[in-house]
Amino acid sequence: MSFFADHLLSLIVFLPMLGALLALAFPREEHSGVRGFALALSVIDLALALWLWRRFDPSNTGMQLYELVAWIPSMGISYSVGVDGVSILLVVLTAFLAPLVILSTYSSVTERIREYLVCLLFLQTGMLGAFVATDLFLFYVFWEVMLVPMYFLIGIWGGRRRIYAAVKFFLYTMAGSLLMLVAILYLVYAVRDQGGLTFSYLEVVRRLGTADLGGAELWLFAAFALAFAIKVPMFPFHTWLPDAHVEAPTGGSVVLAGVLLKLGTFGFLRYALWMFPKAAVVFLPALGLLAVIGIIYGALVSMVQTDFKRLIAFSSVSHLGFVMLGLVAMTVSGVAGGILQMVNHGISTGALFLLVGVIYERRHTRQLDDFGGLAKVMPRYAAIFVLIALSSAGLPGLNGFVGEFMILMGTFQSEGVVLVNTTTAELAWVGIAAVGLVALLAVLLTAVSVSQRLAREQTGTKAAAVGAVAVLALLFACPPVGNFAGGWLVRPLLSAGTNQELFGEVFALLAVLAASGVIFAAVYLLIATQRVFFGPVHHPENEHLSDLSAREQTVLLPLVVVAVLMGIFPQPFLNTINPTATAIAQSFRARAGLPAPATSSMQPAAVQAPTVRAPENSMTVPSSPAGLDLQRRLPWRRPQNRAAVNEPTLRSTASPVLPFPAPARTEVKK
Amino acid sequence: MSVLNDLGQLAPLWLLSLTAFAVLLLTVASGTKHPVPQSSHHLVILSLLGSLTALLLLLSSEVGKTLFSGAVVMDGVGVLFGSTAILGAALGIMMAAAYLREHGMSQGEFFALVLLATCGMLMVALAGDLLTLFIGIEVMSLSVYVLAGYRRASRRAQEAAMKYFIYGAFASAFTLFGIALLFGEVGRLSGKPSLGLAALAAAVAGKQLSLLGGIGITFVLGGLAFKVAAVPFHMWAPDVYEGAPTPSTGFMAVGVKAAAFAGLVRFVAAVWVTSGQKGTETAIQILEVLAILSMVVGNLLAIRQTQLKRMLAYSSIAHAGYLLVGVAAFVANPKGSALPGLAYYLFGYTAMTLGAFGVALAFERAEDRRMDLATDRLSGMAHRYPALGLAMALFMLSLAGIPPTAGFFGKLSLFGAAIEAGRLSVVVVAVLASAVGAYYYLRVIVVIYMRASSTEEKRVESHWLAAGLWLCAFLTLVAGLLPNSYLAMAQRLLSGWLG
Repeated sequence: MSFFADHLLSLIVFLPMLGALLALAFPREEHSGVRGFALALSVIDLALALWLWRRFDPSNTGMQLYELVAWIPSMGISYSVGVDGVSILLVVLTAFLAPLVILSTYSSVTERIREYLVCLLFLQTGMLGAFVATDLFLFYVFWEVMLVPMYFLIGIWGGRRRIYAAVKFFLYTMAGSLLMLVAILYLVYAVRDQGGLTFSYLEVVRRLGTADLGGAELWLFAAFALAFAIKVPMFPFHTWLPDAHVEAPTGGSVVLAGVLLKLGTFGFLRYALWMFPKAAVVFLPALGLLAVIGIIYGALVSMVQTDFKRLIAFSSVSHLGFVMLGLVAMTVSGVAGGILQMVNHGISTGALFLLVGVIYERRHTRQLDDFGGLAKVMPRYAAIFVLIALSSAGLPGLNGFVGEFMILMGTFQSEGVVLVNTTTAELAWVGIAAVGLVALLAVLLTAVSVSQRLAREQTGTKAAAVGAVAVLALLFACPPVGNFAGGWLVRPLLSAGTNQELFGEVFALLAVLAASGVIFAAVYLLIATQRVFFGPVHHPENEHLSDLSAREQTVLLPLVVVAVLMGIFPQPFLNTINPTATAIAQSFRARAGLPAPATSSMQPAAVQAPTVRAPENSMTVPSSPAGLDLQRRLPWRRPQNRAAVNEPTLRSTASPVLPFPAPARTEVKK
Repeated sequence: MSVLNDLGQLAPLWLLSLTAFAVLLLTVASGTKHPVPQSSHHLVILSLLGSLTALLLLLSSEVGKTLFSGAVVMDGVGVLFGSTAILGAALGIMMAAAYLREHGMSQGEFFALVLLATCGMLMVALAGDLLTLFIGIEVMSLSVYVLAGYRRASRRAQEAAMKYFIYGAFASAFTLFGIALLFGEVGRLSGKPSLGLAALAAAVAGKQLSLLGGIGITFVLGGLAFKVAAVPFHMWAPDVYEGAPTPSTGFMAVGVKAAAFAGLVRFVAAVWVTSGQKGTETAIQILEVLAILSMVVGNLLAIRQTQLKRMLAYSSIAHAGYLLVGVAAFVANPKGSALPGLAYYLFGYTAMTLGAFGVALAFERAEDRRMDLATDRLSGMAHRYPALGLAMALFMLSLAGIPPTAGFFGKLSLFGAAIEAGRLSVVVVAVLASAVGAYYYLRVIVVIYMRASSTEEKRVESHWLAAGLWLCAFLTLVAGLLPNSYLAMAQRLLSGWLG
């Protein structure tokens, strides 16, 4: 028993793979046995994951249940896994979705079911491994291994254009990750001098605390950020996602939206932002802007979709924009909300794809126009769908609201990147620029929607529009170009210096813009709901559709329960996340030279991380009921006390989340 | 006495040639060449026994010895690269057996030629002077020319062999000319003309080379670049790979590459890495330009191919490029991890490439006059033959460099070595090129898994082929998952090299 307890993480990660290998022993033509086997296995994995959550100590903000085995000592590579407040809920989410997906295959997959399940189980091992890996090499291996089963899932069991979608998915992700591989190699050799070659994440982070990489840090951050931005996917790297989602089978879509995309946001937080805070600071406003563009763009494009899966796919772009916005705001509630929203999105969007799968199995179409009035025919289905759609739209009382609210609040609270000599005129410029940007976006998207309505399949205009927005976004994202073209916005961001901040204003503006995404989300989801479920039944085929079967209800009810539970009682989840989020925001800001984060009142004092030392000049506003001091945060009214921002006392808090001693390791003998 | 002693050290070499002659004699003794007897397992077993014993002898031989007054050196480079060549020969023989029987070709001669070519490869790997290097290259090449045209009835094979021979003869002539120039250059610099690589290293260390010496180095490099099929010396590869019988192609792709890279490493080490010095920037840049050209051209042209073997030919050009990145890193940082990385990469490349050719030859039909194998003919193959399909997918993923395969870890160690040596830009090109490369490897998987099967393809049934493929798949996967034992062995063997 203690062996299992000691290797709980490895067990959770490799149990699905073991199951996949055993599943190959089942006869090819016989389906129920292998299905039952895979289902049982995934339920055991879920039970183990829940046990893991119980054993997890939220107040410890470091890696827990750490395992370390030397793997390739001649290159300083080890098998090491651990779980922290960022990854624990994602592990549980992954294990939670697996049995539901397997259960959903009972009717949606009819051929080569054994191979399908083998792919799903392998995929699960890859995803879980990527969440818990604490070795850069191991992480990269899991990260890439994941691609292969997903590629097969889309390519073999997908729709009409499955091969195109599968290859696009694979190449997009791989191109990004190969540059990340170069960055990993560069990084481990750059910090090699301090005690031999190592790929250990904790050790590399520890060494980065003292190493000075100079300008290389910007490039390293960019390489990591690109790989993760493609995976998230952030605008403008999102084009693989709608194709992959539309062509993937239901189970593939659920896993893709539910878990796979989270690896992008998770990687952003764990690797890109955490390892290179000084470089990240330069990119944060640009990333925030891209996130907001993604939120609005994804929502607007969702509105004009006619294919249900495509609609949800673009809504994912929008929702993950929220997650990214919360993470790059780097405030306590921003980070905590971002992590929570990853889980929320996994639940809601996973459920939406399962729900679309249900009607697709009955009608073999996903066009919104082919439905209508389903609420009369399938009342239980309609009830669950409306509830999940509302949770996705962020209705208070359901899970989506909590995460989005925390993200917006955290973004609004964010402050830090120092702008030199900000004058009112410059502030006005920023405002005009932001408004102009949104106006331009709106014009372009109107053009997109008009052209789409004119010719459903005509993609040229859309590509041009997307290209124009992409160019614009890149213009702002790329400091040199941005500096040249729009010096009023980007130049001050680069000259991180002494006295005044505009970062707060930029992020406050972004929060306001992002909030409009919540409205858009309500619009597209309600429009879709209305078109599918209400009004008269247009199509005679729809009149005799059967309502949810017992099995389908078994698949969907856990998701509904969790969505409601997380909406009205989010505290257990926040308790798990908050201490780590606090530590991340504080340590990141300290290392990046930003003011300390405002703490969130959603975090009870009882779970304050004991290991985290609050910086002396912390800007906490604990008395404020919602953690929101609007007066203080009103744009253009600056608090005066910013003198201590760059004092060395703050920089010493670099390691509160790394309580581990550096793992002992064999060094390379020269 | 010392000659006898030295001969004893060279046991792997003469064991291989003895096996070759034994196989030939047995073939003659069995009398009938056409049609080939159904059960000729004894030939396969004999060849395998010979080559595997040679492999064991080589691996257990004492490293760091100089034999025949410097003509042969028994060192880590020779043992590592030579053992990879022997492994390629053994796997190639296993896979060839059924194919040759199916296509009515003599097995004995084929195996003997493979073993003799392996002798040449071993000579190249163990070469201590330029003459041994040249003779090794010629012994290897002559056998491989014949193997390329082994299917005498086929005009394509004849064309391939002829093309290979003529190009190869040119390359050899240039190499020989270069060697002669270097012989003179060593004499000019040190007063003592010598062909020894050690003497060359000592003579050129820290000195200004004459124009003729520079031309000599260029010619020898060009000859070796021809053998590894690096761009712009790659023109022969696609035609020869396509025209030659598939077992020959597979063997040629891995063995010749391993030997030629061993020769290349020895040569660049002597010229530019003398006594552990840092190589000149020019040398590194030349190697990197060759690498970049090979990776870019190989990968881009591979995309357009519809014939599996032709695609694999361009892919092998691209892989020569990745390996050249490692050679350049070795010159830039001789003490770094480039050399173990090169040895590992060639080891993994042998397993995955022979595996891919093994699957290809299982589907080559006897009545195919043109010997080409359209990728599309494998449509849906994986559903009829799941194990074969899975193996092919594994080989393709490994060639594309997806973990946890040998192809991935090989790339990682080569690129890591290049970054360690401070050559970042070439690595960026290399990863972008391999992203392009992933496309055409994935297409093979698309064809075998995601297309409906059109015709019922017959495949060659053979236990030897199956065993060879299993072995290749096993090595590809295990070397990728547990690369440490090989790397540790390589580091141990190479620790004494370069002083």
